[in-house]
Amino acid sequence: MVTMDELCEMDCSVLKRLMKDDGAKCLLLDCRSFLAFSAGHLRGAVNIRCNTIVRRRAKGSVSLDQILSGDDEARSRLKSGLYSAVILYDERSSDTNTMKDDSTITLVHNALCRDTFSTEVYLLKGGYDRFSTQYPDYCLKTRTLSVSSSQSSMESSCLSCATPQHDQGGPVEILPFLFLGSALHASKKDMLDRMGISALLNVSSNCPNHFEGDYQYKCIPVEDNHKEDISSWFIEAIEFIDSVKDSNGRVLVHCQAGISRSATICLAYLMKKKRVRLEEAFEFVKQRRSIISPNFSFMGQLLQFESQVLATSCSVEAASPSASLGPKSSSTPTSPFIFSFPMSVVTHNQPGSLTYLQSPITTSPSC
Amino acid sequence: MESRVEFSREEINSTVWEVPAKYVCLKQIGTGAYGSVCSSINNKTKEKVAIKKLHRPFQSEIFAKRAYRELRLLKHMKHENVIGLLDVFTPATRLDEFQDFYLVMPYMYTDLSKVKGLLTEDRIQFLVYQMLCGLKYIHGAGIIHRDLKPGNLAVNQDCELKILDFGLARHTDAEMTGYVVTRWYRAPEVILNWMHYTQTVDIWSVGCIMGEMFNGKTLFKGKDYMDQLTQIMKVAGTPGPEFVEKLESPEAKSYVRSLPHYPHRDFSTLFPRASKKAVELLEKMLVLDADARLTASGALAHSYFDGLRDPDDWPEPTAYDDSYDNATLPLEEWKRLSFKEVRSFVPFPRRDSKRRNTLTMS
Repeated sequence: MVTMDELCEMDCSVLKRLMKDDGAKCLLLDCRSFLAFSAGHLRGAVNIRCNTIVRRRAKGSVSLDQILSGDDEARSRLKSGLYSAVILYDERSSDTNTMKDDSTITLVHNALCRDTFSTEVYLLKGGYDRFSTQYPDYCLKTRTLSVSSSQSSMESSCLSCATPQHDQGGPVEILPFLFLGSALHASKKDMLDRMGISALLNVSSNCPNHFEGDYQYKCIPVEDNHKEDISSWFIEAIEFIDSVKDSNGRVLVHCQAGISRSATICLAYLMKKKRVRLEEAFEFVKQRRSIISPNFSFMGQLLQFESQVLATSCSVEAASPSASLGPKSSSTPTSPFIFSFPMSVVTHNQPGSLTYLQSPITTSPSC
Repeated sequence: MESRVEFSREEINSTVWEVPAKYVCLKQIGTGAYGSVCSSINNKTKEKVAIKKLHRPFQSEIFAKRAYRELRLLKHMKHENVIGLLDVFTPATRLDEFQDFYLVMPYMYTDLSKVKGLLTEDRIQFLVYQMLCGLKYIHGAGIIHRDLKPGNLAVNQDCELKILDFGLARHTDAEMTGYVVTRWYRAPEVILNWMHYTQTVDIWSVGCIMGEMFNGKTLFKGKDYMDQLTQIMKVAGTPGPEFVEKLESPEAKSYVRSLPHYPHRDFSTLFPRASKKAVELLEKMLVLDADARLTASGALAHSYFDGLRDPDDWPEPTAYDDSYDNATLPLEEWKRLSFKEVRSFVPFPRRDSKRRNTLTMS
């Protein structure tokens, strides 16, 4: 190309001197991508805009207005001839001979030649890579997002299958015999065995019972939506949990994510069996599994269940005045431990799940 | 494929990968409950791609149906701002051999959740424009995304954007097969009414993401559903009686009525870095009433995008045929349908075919 002969080369040392003497006279155009520019660039450089959308709309020849659309001041100064030189740089081009016809440098150079006739245009030899190595003080680097850390974070994570929060860790212990978790937890036999789970309460219509025959299963086929009458299952669920407890077993209550349906069942159990209000039960469970969040209708049904439980409790006390005076009084405890047995109020995982997480045999690759 | 493509076999982290020989340098980049993903180089095009292998897609009717849906949706998406398939293959040549299939997608450098905090207004404008172009296409096909968030918006190094993760997207509301967890970007009607949302749920999410890009932090960071709603009301204001009457759930109605009165915040002080037109657009996207909220087309028509708008960015979508999505079929039928879809794949001719590498790491 004829125009390529007009693109002069400039050494890093020459540019450094220019920047030191009178930087305002030069326009530095960073012809790399936005993320590369953000990670680090020459001081005072302007990042051109030359992505596929710009190229496609330009239909082969981009204009100054397009490539400098992000910096009106630089564009007007350039058109007014206030710059004595324009220096283009990419990541590491060493000379103009290796420049391809469709490279960003070439497209920008062509635009400059068409729209500005007097200003001298140079290619920085070695690009950002060489200049930043030789003269780091004349460059700006951000720690927020460096290219290398982006690469490492990219290689260690997946855009579409990162482990969601509700599947991390393992089931949490609500009571010594009662655990809350997700469908993924319910699908890991090693995890279940290490925790001593003997039964699973599956509060969903779609999650499979993976190990029929190895564990006792009960299904409560409700969806996580407002139309479901989950409270009609409360008594049945409570009876199932109690039957597991009475046979010295441990039950995992799960739904798909362990956030709404299964949490609702656990809350109902605590309210009924420990005679606490919804607010207290909610805080108790949330301390152990912070992502619980029953949908609005379920919360409403739990509130209604709360009034039923408390009403039953009052009528029992009224009918048996001697019982209320006994040592097993059911009055609301004022102790910071709202339950009548020792309970460690800590948020870290149970030893069982820690053992699971550390096991080299059962650990599977994950993001 | 009429002639058998040569396949190579490789075990990576206990998973066997059997892929056409042109896909080299396989390296696992992720694994989850339903599949594993490897990065790879297409030796013929020199393009870096992501290959997803589903774990045992035909182990049950539920899994088979889910796999079929994902395949159908990805095949259907043919827009530059929406993730779609570059290829799909199975080593099986006959239905009775068919056990696995692999989805090939562009390798995306990073996602928006890792880019925030570095953005100038023209970058934000460019990103939001692309989100809306992608949504206009998706909505025109009769699909609602439902789970837009920064982590589901892949970007390359030039801030070119693709909407990801249609694993949860469906044409109808008949069944929830996955779980939407991140609630910070969810529209208020999703929290309150659940069963009755329209395409503008996605516009609310775009508004949250746009506001977050300006402010550098999450807009409505609720710690549970109730807290989420409270935070939304503190910005959008307590809704009037017309909004409350639209709610179906009595619990939601009484909750909203019990809230203290919050005035509508002044968005120009809420978003000090945003231009006047950006603030105006945000106000029209972050509207409590879904019926009063902008659509994707309406947002694209806003003067904020003057100078950027190009109708070539809005190809007319084909309506998504969901006739099987809610069917109850035996496992073997799902398998047969999936096999048919794999075999009938035709690559989407991209408008930027001369620079295919632009969407991958350069």
